[in-house]
Amino acid sequence: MSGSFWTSTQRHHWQYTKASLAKERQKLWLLECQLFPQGLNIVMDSKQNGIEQSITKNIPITHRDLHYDKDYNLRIYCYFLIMKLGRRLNIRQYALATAHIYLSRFLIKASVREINLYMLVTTCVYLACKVEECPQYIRTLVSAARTLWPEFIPPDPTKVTEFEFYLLEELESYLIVHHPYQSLKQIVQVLKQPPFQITLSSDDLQNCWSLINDSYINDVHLLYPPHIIAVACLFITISIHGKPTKGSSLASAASEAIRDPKNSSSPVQIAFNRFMAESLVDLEEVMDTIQEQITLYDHWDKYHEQWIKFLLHTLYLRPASAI
Amino acid sequence: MYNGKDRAQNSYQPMYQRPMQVQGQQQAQSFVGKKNTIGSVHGKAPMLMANNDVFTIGPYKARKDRMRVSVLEKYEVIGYIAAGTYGKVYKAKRQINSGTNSANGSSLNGTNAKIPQFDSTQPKSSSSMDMQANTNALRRNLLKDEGVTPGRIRTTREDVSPHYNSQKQTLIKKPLTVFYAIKKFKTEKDGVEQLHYTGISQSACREMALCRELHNKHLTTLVEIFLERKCVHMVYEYAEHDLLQIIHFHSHPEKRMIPPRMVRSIMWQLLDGVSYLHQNWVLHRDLKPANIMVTIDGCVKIGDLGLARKFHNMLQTLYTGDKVVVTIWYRAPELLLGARHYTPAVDLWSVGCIFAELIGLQPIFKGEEAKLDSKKTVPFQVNQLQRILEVLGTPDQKIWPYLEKYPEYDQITKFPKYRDNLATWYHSAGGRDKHALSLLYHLLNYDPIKRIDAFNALEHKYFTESDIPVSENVFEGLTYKYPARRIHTNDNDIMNLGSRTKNNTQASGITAGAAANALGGLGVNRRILAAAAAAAAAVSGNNASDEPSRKKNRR
Repeated sequence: MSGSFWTSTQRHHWQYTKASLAKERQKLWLLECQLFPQGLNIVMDSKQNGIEQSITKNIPITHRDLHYDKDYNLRIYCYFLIMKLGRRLNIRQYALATAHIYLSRFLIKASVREINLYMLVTTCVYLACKVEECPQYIRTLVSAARTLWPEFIPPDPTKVTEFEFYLLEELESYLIVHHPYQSLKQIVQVLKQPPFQITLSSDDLQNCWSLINDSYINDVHLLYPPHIIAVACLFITISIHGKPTKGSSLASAASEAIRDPKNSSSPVQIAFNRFMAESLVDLEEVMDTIQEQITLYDHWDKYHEQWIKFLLHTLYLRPASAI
Repeated sequence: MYNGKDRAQNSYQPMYQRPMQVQGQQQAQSFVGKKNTIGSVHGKAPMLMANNDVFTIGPYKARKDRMRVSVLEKYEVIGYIAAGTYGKVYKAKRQINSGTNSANGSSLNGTNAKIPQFDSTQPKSSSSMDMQANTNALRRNLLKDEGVTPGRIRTTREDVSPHYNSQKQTLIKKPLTVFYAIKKFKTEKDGVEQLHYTGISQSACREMALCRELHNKHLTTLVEIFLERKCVHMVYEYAEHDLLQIIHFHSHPEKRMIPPRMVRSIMWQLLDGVSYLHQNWVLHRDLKPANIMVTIDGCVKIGDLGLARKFHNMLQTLYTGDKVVVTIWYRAPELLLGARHYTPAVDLWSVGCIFAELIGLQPIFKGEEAKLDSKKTVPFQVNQLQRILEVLGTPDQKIWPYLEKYPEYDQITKFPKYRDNLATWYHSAGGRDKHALSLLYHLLNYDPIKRIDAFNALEHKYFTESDIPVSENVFEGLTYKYPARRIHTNDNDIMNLGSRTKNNTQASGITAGAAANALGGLGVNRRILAAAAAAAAAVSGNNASDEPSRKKNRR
């Protein structure tokens, strides 16, 4: 139901367990292996003994590159694609989050290799804006997408509207999604009151909001209810509170902070721990979400945009020599 | 640079159509062919053409198109029920070979029958991938069916096993077939076969998103959705009657009141459905007799969520989304006064109007819709407000404190002062129940803040303090039967396969089209305008043409 997560199709139809998600992905993996047994040939320029030459390499299909479930590079790249398009059109984060859910759901069922990722992003944003009642004109959207990725987006907007049908089909028309932002608001309200009396600064809230934004890169939205993700992100926010995060990466800051025994004795942390204990949230799920988030930031440190761009270019475009 | 792409588009047509037309063997071929294409694109052998798969997502589409089950494979279309700007509604039943009608039925038989059906529609394929995909799709279908069981099992059982029939429904002699209503959304343009994907309309999008999410006894139950041939087909449980039809039956040829007991049951079930919607943060925004269905066993179902929207955590104001909502006769005074923000109370005003119509057998505020001017601004609905004032009196700040704040407040000062006449109206309409009148006053309260909400309306004395309890079957105790829905069997061509037959709603279609065109990209909901245009036409036609007005209004 649209009023509550507990009766929603998100929970009853689109929430996986780790096992069931792995099973779905295994299916897709087999499908990909069958459809594209030849893998991907890439041409790389290399300098050997001062002589420039290009070498053709093959990335076997079994390699993790370009498999959405295994390739964090690809995941993070998708996140940036959605953000970029959203920024350009001033689309609200809430709608973009919905678009991201559509994208993750779609990519459980279909391979990046058989579709056009840039079109998928455009279509997800198009549909999400409609569902979140802030519709975008198709022409505006397509022309914005075309300025960003001219080589991948056809000028004809009906290609996006056509894709919309296929997207709807994969989503089985389950379109309403619940996000942690709303839960965050509610939890923050509760925390303000006794016995917890934690008032988060606007910086903290902004941090937490950003953590939630990032969490869409993970699978957690396919696995856990939104409030779990909100609690997990709040936990991280409180753990790293006051720690200098500029120099070191957020990943190391977070994992350090969580491991640091001194940290758990800060009054805010104690109060928040009490909240977690009393609110009866599933702590295991919260911990797993935190772990996922830390893993994500580890990968983020190694994020190599040029590489994923190069792979997608090779995958989607004809070789440069043929032009 | 785009020469290559243009070529790609040209070659796209046959590429795309192939999988829809050919049978198994050839599909397997195109499958292999596809592999080669990809291989060579990625390989060293330079290709002259751009990889058109990238733009057309050809391989993926081919894979999906092969698996798709057509609406016609599962349903047999009997005829069409109604047509409007949104599209068309058809009456259908399950294809005999696809189950549910078979004699040894259980709730599962629909799925049993699906297995051979799948086999027959799938091309024979040796790859295990396809098999997997098949079972996958099959499982998904099972899930889908499970999702709708509550309502369906019931009907199926009544349909299938004779004990149930003999137990309670002696009226029904022959076993019923389960019928469905298939709503086919028209995509933007009028015309023959759709050439391009035009993007699903906001209205179809809302209806899909909300119907998937909402499940209540008093909402029309969505069975499944087919996305086929560039159109959205939504399959609902069929409802034999609607309130418009019932009101018409009682007002023609001469007025005969609807039994008060039946009115009460209808109102209770209607409010129960509205209460459910509001508790789920959904505004209906188009409640009117034509949208309130009644099933053959007397259960009220609210239909048509095409204008409904969530009002929880909104990214845009209600007004930005749709400039005009609710069919004119059922539009709340705050909307007429130009409210930018409004509340679920707008639905309760509509419920009040429906209540009055069930009592008086004609729309209580039958105003004439002001047409849009050339400047494309939303006009002030003088006549509609006039009709309301005549019955309810002129509001002042005593009864409506925020009255002055509305954008169109100035307009209301131009009217002469009227006195409250609702009680007189009620008695002249033949009403005798003081509780009914009291509920009517609460529903038609000018001030949206003071207007009763659905939840409290259900607790009103009208329902609680009565000798006869509210019934689950609104037809209980009746000695007559309402006529069945008229089905136009001259057109059951849901897929637009054959030549188009001209239908008698063409005239209303033209009016609607004109209204919609006049508006262009204003963002005013076309359906509302179309209905309003039809309503206005009916009013100006001065009741001599009551029949066509009904038809147009049916949408």
